[in-house]
Amino acid sequence: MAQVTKTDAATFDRRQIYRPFLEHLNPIVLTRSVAERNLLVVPPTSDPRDPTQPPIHEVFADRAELNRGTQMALVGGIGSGKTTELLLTMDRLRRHDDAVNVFLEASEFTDFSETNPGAMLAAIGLRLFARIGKLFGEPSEQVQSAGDKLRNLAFGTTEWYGEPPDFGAEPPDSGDRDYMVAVRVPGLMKPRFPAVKKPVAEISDLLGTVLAPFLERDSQITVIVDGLDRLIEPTRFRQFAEQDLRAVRGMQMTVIVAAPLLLWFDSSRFLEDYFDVVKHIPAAAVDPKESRFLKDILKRRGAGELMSAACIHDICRFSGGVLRDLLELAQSAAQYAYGDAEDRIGKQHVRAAVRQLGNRYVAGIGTHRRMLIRRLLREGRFSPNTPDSKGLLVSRQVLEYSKGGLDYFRVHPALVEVLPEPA
Amino acid sequence: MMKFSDVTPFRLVRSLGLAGPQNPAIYLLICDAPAAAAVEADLQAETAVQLGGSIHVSTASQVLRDSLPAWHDGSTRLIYFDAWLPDLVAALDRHSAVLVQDGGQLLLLADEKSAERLLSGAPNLRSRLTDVFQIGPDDFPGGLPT
Repeated sequence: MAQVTKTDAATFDRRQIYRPFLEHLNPIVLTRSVAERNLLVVPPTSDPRDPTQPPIHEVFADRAELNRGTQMALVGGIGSGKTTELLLTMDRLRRHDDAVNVFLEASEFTDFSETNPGAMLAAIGLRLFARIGKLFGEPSEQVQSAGDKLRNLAFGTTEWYGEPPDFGAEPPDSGDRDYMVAVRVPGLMKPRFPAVKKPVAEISDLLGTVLAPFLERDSQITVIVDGLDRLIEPTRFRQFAEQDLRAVRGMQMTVIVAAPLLLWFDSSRFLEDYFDVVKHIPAAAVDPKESRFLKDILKRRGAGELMSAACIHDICRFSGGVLRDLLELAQSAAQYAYGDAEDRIGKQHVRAAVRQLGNRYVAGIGTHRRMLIRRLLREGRFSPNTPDSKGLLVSRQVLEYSKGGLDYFRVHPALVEVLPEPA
Repeated sequence: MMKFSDVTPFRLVRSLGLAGPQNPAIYLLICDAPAAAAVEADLQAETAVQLGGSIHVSTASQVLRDSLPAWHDGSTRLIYFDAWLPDLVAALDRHSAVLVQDGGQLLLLADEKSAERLLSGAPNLRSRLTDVFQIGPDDFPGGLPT
């Protein structure tokens, strides 16, 4: 059907109805500007796990302001709104003039495919070093040198030799320590945490030098690291925590990181051991049956002009309370309506969007996971302690909710819509 | 058998045009291997006609060999999964947040088996997919999912 229709008065272009709506809904755009966030984001008014507690971004900001050097972790499912909380924390921290805030996306400093201890510290150091000139003028020779070394360590250097360096064996000279070889004899008492590796210790020293001009002026430094939760497998995250985060303990630099959801269900209490504050956002920010929060988000982004209250209700319900799915469903329904050359989103478009989302969740579910899903649907029983059940939570096929401090689980409602009946 | 809604290159490119070049999107397109070349050609033709642009096409093997460059120019890229490459899928999953963050559209074209493995094995990427479609050449029937 034609998309552009000529009229006597003006040219009608249906794209102009849907394009602004789609731009406001796009769940994969990172809304970094404060103005945009004020326009689009409905800030949570309480902790998602406890309505009597202040929202997470307020807790993080207050703690960073009052206890410099605190290390905090935000755990949550994929698409649960962690980045939004972290960005809201940044906004709140800006209320003080002496606040120096750094927002790092993990993909900017490491590939994750291999353990890369020290990379995060180098990235933080370089970001802070770049601010010194603007804030305090020409850096001292010592700080300049530390910045240069950090850059070399972060990006590597190329050295040119006229002839190959001689690595031949020289006879050890007992008077020259350069030739001495250390032989470590392990003691009986094992340190509780693994030792910080030598390159990490070196980088943290350089970072300390770069931090000095900020601390001399009593600045409030907060570094927010997003994206480490995408490591999924907790082992690599632990290595970051055991090396990079531990190396900056005592530096009066607050660090807030997004951590993988699996650590929340880990029985080792790793998060509690390593972090001063741990906050958890369930994948489903709210139970759609019990909150207006989701509807407010859609209305803030223009849904009220394009669909009925019943359609908004259905989108909220089938999102299961997952913010990214909420936006995804609305976006997908708008695309279907546009494809049908309709000026408004109808029930059939919402239904199609729900089925599309459900089909994504059904793809690749193995027999055992299917059995766990059916058991949860039939008997309401679900334990998050096995690898398969944790896998269902990470991939949001099963959603965790929290009410009155108690966690409960439900199958994602869009998945339920398309789950085939057992043979 | 996965049951995603059908789309033709014509309809898909119309959706890209609707969203606009600065509205980042990642689509997973499912297509039988024998039809992949025809789909690619139709997508190129529709992009030229409807959007006045072109699609940068690479195979997954090429991307894995040459590394996926960051792009911020609002252009459209297509990666055809000519083979199942778990390292590439893992990398796309880990870096899903920055793949199209500053604009640009990424089309992942895969057969049903690869698409299913991608959906189940790359939860970060799946969560950021704009949509998933069964795609065929322009005479393919389009419509809402059943």
